Amino acid sequence: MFWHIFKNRLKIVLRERTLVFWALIFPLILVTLFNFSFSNISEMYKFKTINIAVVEDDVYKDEDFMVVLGELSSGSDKIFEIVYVGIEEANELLEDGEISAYILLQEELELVVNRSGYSQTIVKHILDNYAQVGSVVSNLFKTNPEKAQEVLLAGINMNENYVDTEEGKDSDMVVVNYYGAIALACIYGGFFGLKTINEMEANLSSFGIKNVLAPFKKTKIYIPSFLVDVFIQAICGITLITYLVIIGLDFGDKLIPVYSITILGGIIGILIGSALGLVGRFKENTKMGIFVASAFTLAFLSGMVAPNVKHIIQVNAPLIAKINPANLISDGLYSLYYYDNMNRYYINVISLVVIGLILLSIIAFAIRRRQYDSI
Amino acid sequence: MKKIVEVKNLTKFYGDLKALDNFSFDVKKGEIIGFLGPNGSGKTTAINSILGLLKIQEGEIEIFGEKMSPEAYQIKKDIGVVLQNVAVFDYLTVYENIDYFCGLYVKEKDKRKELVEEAIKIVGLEKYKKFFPPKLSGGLLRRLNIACGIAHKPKLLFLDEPTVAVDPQSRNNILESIKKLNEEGTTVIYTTHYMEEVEFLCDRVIIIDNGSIVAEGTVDELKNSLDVGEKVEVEFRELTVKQLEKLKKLKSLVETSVEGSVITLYFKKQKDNMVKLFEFIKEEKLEAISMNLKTPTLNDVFLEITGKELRD
Repeated sequence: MFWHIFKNRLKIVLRERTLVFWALIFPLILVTLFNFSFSNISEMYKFKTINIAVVEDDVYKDEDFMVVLGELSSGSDKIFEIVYVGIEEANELLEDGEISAYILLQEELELVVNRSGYSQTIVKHILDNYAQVGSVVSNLFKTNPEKAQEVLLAGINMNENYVDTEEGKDSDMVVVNYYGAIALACIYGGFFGLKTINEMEANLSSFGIKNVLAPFKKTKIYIPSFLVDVFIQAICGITLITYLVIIGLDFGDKLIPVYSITILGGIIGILIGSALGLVGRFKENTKMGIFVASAFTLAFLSGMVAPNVKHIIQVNAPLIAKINPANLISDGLYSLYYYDNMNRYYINVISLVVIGLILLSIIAFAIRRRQYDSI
Repeated sequence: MKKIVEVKNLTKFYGDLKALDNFSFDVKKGEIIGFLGPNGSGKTTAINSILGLLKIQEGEIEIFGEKMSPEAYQIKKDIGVVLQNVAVFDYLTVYENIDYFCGLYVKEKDKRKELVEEAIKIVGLEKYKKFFPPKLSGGLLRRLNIACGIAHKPKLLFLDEPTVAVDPQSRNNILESIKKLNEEGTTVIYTTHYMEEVEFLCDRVIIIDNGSIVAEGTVDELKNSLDVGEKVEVEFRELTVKQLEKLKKLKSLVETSVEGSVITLYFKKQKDNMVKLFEFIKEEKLEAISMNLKTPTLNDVFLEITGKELRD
């Protein structure tokens, strides 16, 4: 029975071009258009060496800090390009935009900037981190330079202060667009869910009547149908991510969690569609229309169209951000890219799982029904 | 004869509207029973209630001698349903559609293959096995819809207006298919508002109006229950008012109506009606241009009982 339904349902879904278009082709077109719009995205993600100046103090010398600066400004992947100048020249360079910041070498290291931004944030964090760990890092540079660099860069939140700088702004906005598009593609799994549930309920379609009249519980049809939806949606999600990797979107080195949250997001999308299918007795096409609008709204709030919206919602309506599945998917991807640790990613995943379980409970409760007030 | 379906005092409300009112009937093994009534009379509601799809307020339903309920899977496996709306998958071929629905009842692949082939043969879709439903005409789609409902060889088959919007050729095919299934032992409950179909197909007829059974019996029994016998439509070359008044006084005449030059005469149910009419024509030296004799139909039965036409 399971395979009979699974096999036929798979045939139906694969042959239904409208579903394939929305679940697979449309997201591919969308990200391709993004790619045309934000050309050279790979270039934008490359870390650009930050130009800074160091104003040395005639009296105070911090040998450990000089070692750290020396390490950070050497090699092919250096973080800083440093010029050692006097204070007047440093001010001029800063004024002209030749440097992002300058550091005053004195007993308490001082950072001077004339605006906040991505580069400035990095410099500030390095100085703050250095202030905390001090000479340990300079020693660490001698034995394990990579680890030392990691310690200094730890906690740098790329999400902060980016809005005021062009370089940071652009790169952050681009990924938010893409992650929003991925979230939309996941939520579009709801097309499958909506169709499946429409064919399950006797008060929604003639197929529903036939299914309810079949000589077994409805779940015997729902489970294989749902698994087909998950299977197809997972393929669509994997294809989309792979395509994005090929065209150069940088997901960092954590591709497995990227694929995982995309598949999970697709399942949530299917469940959203199924839950929507259970609400009211509108025609299937009407529900499809409502679903498209809802999915787009969720993706919009996650920053797909205007990345600032994501930030605005997170600041002003955090609850919406926390229950918007599109935002959770988008934010999960975002956290994978920007954070070294996985905490924020896991929070997003757990939130999605909770939403999924709630939806699944509603659906399971609803499809247990076998008698209706009217058909 | 063994009762396959027994319904007692079935009452169903849609909000304040009483959709079925104390609905009681039974169906015996091997019968084809017709539910005849105008649109909205409660035929489909009755079927859906019997099948356990609708919540009912009162009543008892037994199928195959057991109480029907939504969880009565043993009963359901021997029931076939052909719905009024065509329910087939656009993206499965004719063969795949029948196989899918048959597969909900029959697990064994080989047995299913035989049953699917047989169903295709019964409804005459041999040439269309590999067609996808959107490529089929309305009539062929209806045939496919039927094949999907009968392939698992149900002992009891419900057909809800299966011939709506179907061409005459497909209609004949469908009716013949149902006859054939019945001959093979399937008990059939057939709803329609086409009286010709009921007359052709059904052993017994249940006439429904406003959710109530208003008459029940064989076609002949129902027709014989009428007060009115023949209905004659006659057109005379020339008929004076005086002659018309005399005609209206014919003893066996119940009612007369005049529409243009055509006079419709409704006679009582007795043997010599036409003899009397011809005698009148001879006496008055009238010349009849046309004469059309109609025997009573189920529509007349419905009209007499409810005061309205079946297709109102």
